[in-house]
Amino acid sequence: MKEYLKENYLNTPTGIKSWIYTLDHKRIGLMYLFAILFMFAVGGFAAVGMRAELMTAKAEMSAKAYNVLMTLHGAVMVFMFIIPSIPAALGNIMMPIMIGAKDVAFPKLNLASWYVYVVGCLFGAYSIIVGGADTGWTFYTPYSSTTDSAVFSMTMAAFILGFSSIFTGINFIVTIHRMRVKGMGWFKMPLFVWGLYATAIIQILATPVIAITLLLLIMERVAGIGIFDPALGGDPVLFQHFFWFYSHPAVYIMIVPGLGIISELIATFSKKRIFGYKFIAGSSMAIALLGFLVWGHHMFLSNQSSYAALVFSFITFFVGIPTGIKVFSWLATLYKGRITLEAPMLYALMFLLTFTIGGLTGIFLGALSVDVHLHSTYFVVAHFHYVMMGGTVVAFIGGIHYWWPKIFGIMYNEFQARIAAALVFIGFNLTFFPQFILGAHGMPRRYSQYSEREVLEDGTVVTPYLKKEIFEFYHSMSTYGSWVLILGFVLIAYYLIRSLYNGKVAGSNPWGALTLEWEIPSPPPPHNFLEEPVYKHGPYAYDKVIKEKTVD
Amino acid sequence: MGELEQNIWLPPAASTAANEVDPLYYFILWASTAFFAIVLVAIIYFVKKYRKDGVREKLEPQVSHDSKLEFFWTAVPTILIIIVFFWGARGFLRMQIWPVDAMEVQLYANAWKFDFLYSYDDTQFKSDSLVVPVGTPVRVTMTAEESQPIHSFYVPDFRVKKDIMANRYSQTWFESNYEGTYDYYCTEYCGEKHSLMNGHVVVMPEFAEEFNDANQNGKIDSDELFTDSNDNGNWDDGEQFVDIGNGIWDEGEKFTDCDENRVRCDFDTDEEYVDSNGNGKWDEGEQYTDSNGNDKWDRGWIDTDEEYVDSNGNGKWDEGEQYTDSNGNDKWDRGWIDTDEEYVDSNENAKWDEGEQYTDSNGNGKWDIADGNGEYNLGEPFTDIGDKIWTPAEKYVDSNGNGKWDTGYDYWFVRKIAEHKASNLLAGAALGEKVYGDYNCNTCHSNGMNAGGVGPSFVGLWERKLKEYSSSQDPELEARNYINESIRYPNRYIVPGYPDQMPKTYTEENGFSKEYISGLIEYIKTLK
Repeated sequence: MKEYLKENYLNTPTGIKSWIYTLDHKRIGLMYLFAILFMFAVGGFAAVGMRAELMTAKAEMSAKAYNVLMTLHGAVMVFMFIIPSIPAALGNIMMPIMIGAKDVAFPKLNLASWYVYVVGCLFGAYSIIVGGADTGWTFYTPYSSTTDSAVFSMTMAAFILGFSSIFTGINFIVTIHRMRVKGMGWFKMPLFVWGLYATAIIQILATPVIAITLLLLIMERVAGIGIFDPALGGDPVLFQHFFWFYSHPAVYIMIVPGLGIISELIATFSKKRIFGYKFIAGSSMAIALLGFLVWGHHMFLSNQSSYAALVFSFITFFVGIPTGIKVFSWLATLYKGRITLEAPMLYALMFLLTFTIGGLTGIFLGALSVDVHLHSTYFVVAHFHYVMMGGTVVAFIGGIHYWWPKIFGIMYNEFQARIAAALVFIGFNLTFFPQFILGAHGMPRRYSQYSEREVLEDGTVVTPYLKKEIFEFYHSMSTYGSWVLILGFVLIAYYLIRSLYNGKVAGSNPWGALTLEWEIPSPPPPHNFLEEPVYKHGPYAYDKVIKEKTVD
Repeated sequence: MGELEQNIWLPPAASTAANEVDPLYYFILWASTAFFAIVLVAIIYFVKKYRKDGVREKLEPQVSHDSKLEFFWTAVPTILIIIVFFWGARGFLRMQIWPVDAMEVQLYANAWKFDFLYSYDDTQFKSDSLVVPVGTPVRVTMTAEESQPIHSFYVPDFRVKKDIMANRYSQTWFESNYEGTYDYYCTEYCGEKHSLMNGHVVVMPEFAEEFNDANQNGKIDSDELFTDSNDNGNWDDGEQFVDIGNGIWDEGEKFTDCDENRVRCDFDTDEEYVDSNGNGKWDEGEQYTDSNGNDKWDRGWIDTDEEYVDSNGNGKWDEGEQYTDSNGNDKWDRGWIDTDEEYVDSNENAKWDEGEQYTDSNGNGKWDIADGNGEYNLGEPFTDIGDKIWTPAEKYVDSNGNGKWDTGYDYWFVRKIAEHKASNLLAGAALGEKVYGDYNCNTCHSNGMNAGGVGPSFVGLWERKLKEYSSSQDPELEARNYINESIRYPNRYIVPGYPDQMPKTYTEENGFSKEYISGLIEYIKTLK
């Protein structure tokens, strides 16, 4: 079908109420997408502010303002953007169609999760309006139990957002278990669905831990019950154990769905059966399970037992193996493919490079003796951003470009998309690669200035930083990179919005892909399938089926 | 010891811990680079070779599985990471174990400042910088008050880092073989001024260069001390001077000030002279005692403004007004000001702003800031009136031939002790003994000279605990933490056979500081 479906989920039915009360997974996913992209912009502005401050060694803004920005950036990006980004937005829209279902298992729970998400974001917004929290997104005690900033509302936000995450997780697990089209066995599912499934398991197992931890923190702050604060007889390291027991698996909540998207993109744009399907699917599950056993690697220097550190370090390295297998399998998929370089594929290849750097730098941090030097420096910041931004965000943007013609039934400007991809790639690396060097030279994270001897406005005298010059050089490079990155994102926003008005009609299958969502018209009909879906071939059976592209 | 190198990947390796970190760092770096190169080359090669219009013309069988290949790319990384794990673990464990002959420095972390405490005799002094002798293992025992957030002590050039928890002792150690000044940072986010919680580690020669304390060379060599370019007898901004602290001249460092009048000692008073014509001032040709051997008569500094008749009542001396020329230099001199002039801080920002009212104490028509001298800062030349202190005029043995006198850890240490004694503050075991009495520890715990008996005796406690923890990784640290916990949280562990009667009031809130605990520990160590 080369035409635009007139009666689609976007316009049937119409009216504001039909959106507010919608139970359609595509509409809910779309509402998620807009909300998430808005939060991405908020977190991004905070990042630009931080980079501006760090460009020179001197303090341009007050330390307090910087600390609030830093917390804002971390909390918004982690809890409000990256955790829900791929599953709740793209997963929600695409997953049921990909497995041949009319909707998710619990449509009302799905809508509830969006409202819970919005309420969580409003708590976050309230926290910002009343002055913001200044604890960093990790809320480490006892600082977070004692600071007088708006910690309560920010932790409440994270607490509430956790429920939204759990709702989505439950929904996905049940949907994937019970609602696959007849004939689609577990190993005939698209790999994106496998990624979402592994993610959902982590979401429902790990999220309750952060919920109870934040609740305990709130109890300590409000009621003075001593749990984490040594002044009340508590143990601050206990908080770190609790926090990372969630937050380490949480980084897999963030990355595993991204890995799923990349599998789809690489197969589609190589027109090739994916290499090592079972290994890729299995490695998603392995990462999800091993991810629960490595939290202590965030705490090598927190005076936990050295022997515990040994165990955590050992297991940490074994998370690297399934990840490496994935990367090699994707490379092998390219072999003898029919490769085309449309925008989504550019993001997939970008992912292979940046995510590999992100993964490899994790080896430095997992090695105990090297971690002593690099812990809490910009090396960690760079590593984290290479994985989260170079990994998840790149996969997310690639996914948006890939499914945009399905979601809206139109194509964006391919040329502008390629320019933007180049800007994002250059900007990203220019922003974050210098941070590895900064970190290796000892620049601590969460510093608002690193100046020469200077008397600040409040009379504080800065002890001169002997490393000021080397820090300033790489920090300024990083700030220039952030500007290029911003330019790339602005261009993406520009041509995507513009495509809604003058985009070329995409038709049902603009990429010639084989997964089920490309069998239905674009945009999808309100109930996904015009006729009962039938499982005819595997998601990557490019050796058995050829599909025409519905767009030139 | 060679020269310290720094490259793009790592800062100078100034301590022995770098031997555990750097080789592994480079191993991972190059292995990763190779791995990344494989990925990059594969992408470029495949994309170039298989780039097509994207639609397959005909169906053909495709490889989607290859057991040998998959085994290969699983096994090779697995072997590599196992190597990395054991290499890293070995280094990590070695970095935890301090040599028994290490000297100990205590570190107290406070938002937002690190204090380093050095013990001597039965007391201790405090320093902002961590000063250590070169080539000596140094163990840093760290703690913080219970109200403190977590801090972390990090010296990038030493590859040393450890978190500091409230109400706990933790430690790290290092040995540097390179003299110099290095940055230390706090690396655990601790609130507003986290990024101001930095400072310097100074590695000094163990011994200062020998010097003869008798001022025997009778002359000042220009490269040894500041060059008094305008002959005004004191150091002015920009003038060269000798810094006995770190061996290099730093912008903003002060000059030698022996009696806090802001004038170098040997210029403090006018040199004596014979006033042959009785005009009350020294004239060219009159005999004089050349006390500093510069072959000219020197005028001393005046401390207060010369008196004058304020004929127009504007509160300052104007050209033409009569004055008493106390030092006979034929001009009216202004005395030095020791403190900032008073001002009305109308906008309460704790500094003087243009336009705010002020008392023009020296009548120069502008508001003056005192230049903050009069106290000894690390790195400042400090000339003491007493002996054993090097003054620029004194002869020395230039052992390394760098043309200037170099200080050493021994010299710094003695200076700090002298300074500390002047402050009359108790610390260490002496403080512990006082606390033992003042806080009625003696009512329940024996020190061998009183009954005690309600609680466990302090006599031999330290040895007992060391023995009890002898199988743990660090018995001393465990013993410290035991005593600390017994004071802060008495009911967490009750020694069998004793009642749960210890008051829970020995908290920071009630004024029972970590210095007290540290003192008590030192005191208990002495009760054998």
